[in-house]
Amino acid sequence: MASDVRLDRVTKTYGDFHAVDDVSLHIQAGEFMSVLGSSGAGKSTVLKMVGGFELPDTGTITIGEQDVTFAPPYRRDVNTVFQSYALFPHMTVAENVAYGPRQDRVSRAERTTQVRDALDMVQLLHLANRKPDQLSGGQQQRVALARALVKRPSVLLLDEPLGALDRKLRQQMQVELKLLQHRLELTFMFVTHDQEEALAMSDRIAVMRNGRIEQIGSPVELYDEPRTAYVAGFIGSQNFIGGTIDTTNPEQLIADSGAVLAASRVAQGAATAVRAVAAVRPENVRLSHEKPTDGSNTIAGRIVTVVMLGDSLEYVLVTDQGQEYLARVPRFGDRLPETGEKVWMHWPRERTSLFSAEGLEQQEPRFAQDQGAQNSRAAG
Amino acid sequence: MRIRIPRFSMAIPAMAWWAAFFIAPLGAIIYFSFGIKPSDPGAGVVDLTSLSFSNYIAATSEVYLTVFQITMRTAGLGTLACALVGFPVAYVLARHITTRWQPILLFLLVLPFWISFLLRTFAWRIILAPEGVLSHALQDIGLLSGPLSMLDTNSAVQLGIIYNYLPLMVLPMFVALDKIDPALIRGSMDLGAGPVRTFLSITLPLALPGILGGMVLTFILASGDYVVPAILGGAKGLMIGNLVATQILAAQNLPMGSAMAVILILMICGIVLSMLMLLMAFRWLLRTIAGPAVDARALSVAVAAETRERT
Amino acid sequence: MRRPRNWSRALLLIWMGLVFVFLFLPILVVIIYSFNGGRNLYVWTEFSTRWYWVAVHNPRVVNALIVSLQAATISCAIAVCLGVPAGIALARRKGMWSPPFMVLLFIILGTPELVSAIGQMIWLDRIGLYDGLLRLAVGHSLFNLAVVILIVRARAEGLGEALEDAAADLGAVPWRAFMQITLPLMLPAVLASVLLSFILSFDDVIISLFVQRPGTSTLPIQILSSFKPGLKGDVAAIVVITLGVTLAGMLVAALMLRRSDKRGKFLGGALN
Repeated sequence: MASDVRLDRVTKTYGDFHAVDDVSLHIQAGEFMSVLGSSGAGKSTVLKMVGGFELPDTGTITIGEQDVTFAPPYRRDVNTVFQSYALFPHMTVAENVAYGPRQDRVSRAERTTQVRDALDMVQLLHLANRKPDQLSGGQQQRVALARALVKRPSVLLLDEPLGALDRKLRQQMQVELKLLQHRLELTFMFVTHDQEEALAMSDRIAVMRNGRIEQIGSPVELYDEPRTAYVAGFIGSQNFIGGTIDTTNPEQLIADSGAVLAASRVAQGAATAVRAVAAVRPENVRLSHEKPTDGSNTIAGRIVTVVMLGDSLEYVLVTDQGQEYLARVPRFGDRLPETGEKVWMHWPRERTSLFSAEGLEQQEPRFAQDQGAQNSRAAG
Repeated sequence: MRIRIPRFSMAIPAMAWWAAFFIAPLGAIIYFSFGIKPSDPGAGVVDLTSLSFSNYIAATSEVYLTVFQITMRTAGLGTLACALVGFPVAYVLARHITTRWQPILLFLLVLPFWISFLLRTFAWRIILAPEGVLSHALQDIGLLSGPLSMLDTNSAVQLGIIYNYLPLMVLPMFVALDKIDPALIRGSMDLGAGPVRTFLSITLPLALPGILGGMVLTFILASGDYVVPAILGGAKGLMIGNLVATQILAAQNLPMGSAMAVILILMICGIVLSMLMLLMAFRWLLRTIAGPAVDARALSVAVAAETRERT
Repeated sequence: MRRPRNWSRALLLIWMGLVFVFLFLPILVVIIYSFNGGRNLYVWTEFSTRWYWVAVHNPRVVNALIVSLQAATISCAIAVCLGVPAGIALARRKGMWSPPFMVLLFIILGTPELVSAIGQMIWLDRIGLYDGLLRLAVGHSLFNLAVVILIVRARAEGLGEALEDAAADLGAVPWRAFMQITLPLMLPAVLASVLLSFILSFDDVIISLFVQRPGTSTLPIQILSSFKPGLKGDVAAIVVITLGVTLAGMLVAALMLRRSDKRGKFLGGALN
C-alpha cells in the first residue's frame, strides 16, 4: 500500500551551510513527486532525510502515520534507488535482489519467487546469476530498481537514477518507470536536476533553490505560471528582457533598450522590485521584416544563427545593445528570414510575464541550458 | 625511420640491478646453506667441496626448532593483535572522520614510521624498566606486588612487535575500508539490514582482502625481526633473527646461518599460504552461516526458461 | 521521537584515541628522558641537557652520523636513477614483461630483511666489494628501488597519457613532452619517494648490521652497540637529535611538495 510522505519545517545545516532550509512538503499516497533543482539546491539532502541517511536538525518527517524523523533506514518502509545504483559487487544479481527479503526473514522458497518476479518485472531474469560488473549501465539500473521494489515499499525514493544513462535509454526508462508506478500504485519521490525528465514523468514537481522550495505544482502549472523568474528560467527555455517596472502602469516593463513591453501576468514581488524582467518563451515569439502595428511587444535584432530543430527553426537574434534572444518558429508559412537579416521579433502581451530579477543571476547561463543554442555555438 | 626498442627498455637498469644484488645473493644463500663451515679459520668462510643437508638437520634440532616455534607464535599472535587493535582504528578513520581531519590523522598514524625504529623500541625499555615510572605507578595502586619484570622476556618482545607493526597493519585495512562505496552501506541499511548484519554481509567481505594483505605484510616483517627481540627480549626473548645473527656475526658459521634463513623463508611461505586458505575458509563460513540467498535450483529453472525464450 | 545517540561511534573514537596515545607515548618518553641528567637513564634525577653535550662531542657518534647520511644519499641516488624510468615504463609501456616484474618487486618487498641482509653479506664478499660505504648504499638501494618504482608508477598512472597526447598534439616531440610535461608533474612523486627511501635507509638496522665494514658503522648500529655496555642519556640524546633532523627534513619536503603540487595543478588546469 502506498503511503503519503510529509515533511514539516525540516532544516539541515552542515556547518554554516543551509543545505535544507525550513522545507515543508506533502507527497500524496500514490503520487509521482519530483524534486527538481540544480546541484547544491538541497534536493538530495531532502531525499536522504526521507530515506534515513541524514537526520534533520529540526522538523519532522512522517511516512503514512508513522513519525520516522530519527528512525534508522532499516526501520523505514521506504526503499531507495541510488544514483550510483550501489549494487553489492560481491553478490550476483539474484543475491542482490534477495538481500532485502532476507533481512525480513522471508523463507527461501518465498524469497526465490519474489526475486524471480522482481527480475521478471524489469526483464532481467536471464541475467540472474551474473555479477553486477558484468552488466551494462542500463541493466544495473534495472537491477537496482528490482532490488528496491522487491520489498514492496510504500514509498520509493529515486536519487537521479537515470543520470548515468545515455539519452535514448533514459527516455525509455522514463516511460517504464512511469508505467511501473501506475501499475504498482506506489508513491515515488524522484530527485533530478533534469527539468525535461521532471516534466515528462511527474504528477507534481517541487522546484528547490538554496535549500528552499521555490514552487510546487503540476508540470503545466510550473510551465505556464511560474511564480519566480528562477522557476520560469529553470523549466523550459525563456527569453529574459531586463528593465524596470513602469511606475505609471505596473503591467508594463521599460526595457533597458527603451522598449516598452506589456504583460498580462505580473508575478508576486515584481511590481516593487528594483530590477525586473519580462519573460517570453522562444516558441511564443514570431519574426517579421516589418515592425508589426497590432500593439504586440517588439524588439529589433539581427539574426546571427539559425538552428534546425526538425519541425521548427530556432533563430538566435542579437540586438543593437548586444543582447541575445531566441525565437522558435515553425518551418511553414511566410518567407523565413535568413542569417544576417534585420528583423523584428514580436509576441502578444498575453504571452508575457513580469518577474522580479532576483535569483536570475544564480541560474546557469541560458545558452548552456538550451540545446539549440548550444549547437549554434558549436557551429559558429 | 624508427628503431624498435623493447617496451621494457626503461626498466632494464632496475632489473639488472636486482638481478645482480638480489637474485644472485639469494642464490648464494641457498648454495651456501648446503656447504659447511671450514674447520680451519684460514680457509675462508665456507667449504663447498661436499654439499649436504647437514646444516638443515642441525637447524631443525630441538633447540632451534623451539626458537622457530616461538618466533612463529610471537609473530602470529602479534599480527592477530595488530589486526584486532587496528581494525577499529581503520574503521573509524574510514567511516567516522570528516575529510578535513582524515589526512591529519593518517599523517599522525604514519608519523612513528618516520621516527627511528630503534628509538621506538628502545623507548619501551624506559617505560617498562623495573625501576621506571610505570613500574612504580603499578605498585602504588596495588596491581603489582614487586617491580615490573616484563623486560627481557617474550612478553616484552610481543608488546614491541605489536607496537612497531600496528600502523603498518592499520594502513592497508584503512585503504580497504575507505574503498568501499558508502552507498553500499546505505543500500544495505535501506534494504532492512541493521548495522551488525550490514557489517557482516557487506563491509567485512569487501574489506577482507585488504585485511589479509596487511596481516601477511605484518607477519613477514615480524617473523624476520631482529631489533625488537635484541633490545627487549634479552636472553629469554630470543627470536630466529637473533639466532641467525649470532650464527653469522658471532659464530662465523655462514652455512648454518644461511640454512636457517632458508628455513625461515619456507616457514613464512607456508604460513602465508595457510593464511590465504584461512581467508577462503572464512569467506565460506560467512556464506554458509548466512545460507544461500535464493533457491538456486528453482531460480535456475526460471532463468533457463527465460533465456530459451529470448534466443 | 528522540534523536538517537551514536554510542558505537563514541566508543570507536575513544578506542582510536587510546591507540594514538599508545603509539606516541614511547616517543614522548624518550624525548623527556633525553633531558634526564642522571647517570642511569631509567631513573629521573634532574633536568639537564648535558647528555646532548656528551653526544655531539663523541667523535664516533658524529662519524656514524656522517656515514649514515652518505650511505642514505648514495642509495637514494641509485634508487631514483633506476626507479623513475622503471616506474614510468610500468605505467606507460605495459606488456608481457610487467606482471613478472611486479612479482619480483613484491618478492623484494616481502622478503624478510634478515634474509636479504645475509645474501648481501655473502655476495658482496664474493664479488669483492669491500668499500664500506658502497656496501651500505647497495644494500639499502634494493628495497628503496622497489619503493621508488611503486610510488612513481602510481603517480604516472594517475596522470594518464592525455597530457602527453595533448603536448604531442600541440607539436611537442616525445622527449620534449616528457621533459616539459611528464617530468614536472612527476616531481612530487619523485620527491616523496626520495624522502621515503632516504628515511628508510637512514633508519635501517639489519642490512647495515650485516654488510658494514669496520669503521663504517651507521648511526643506528652505533646506537645498537651502545646498548650493550648499559644505557646512558647520550643514546636518548642522539635519538632525539635524529628525530629533530627527520622532522625538519619532512617539513622541508612537505613544503617543497606543496609548492610543486600547486604548480602541477596549475599546469594540469591550463591544459584541460
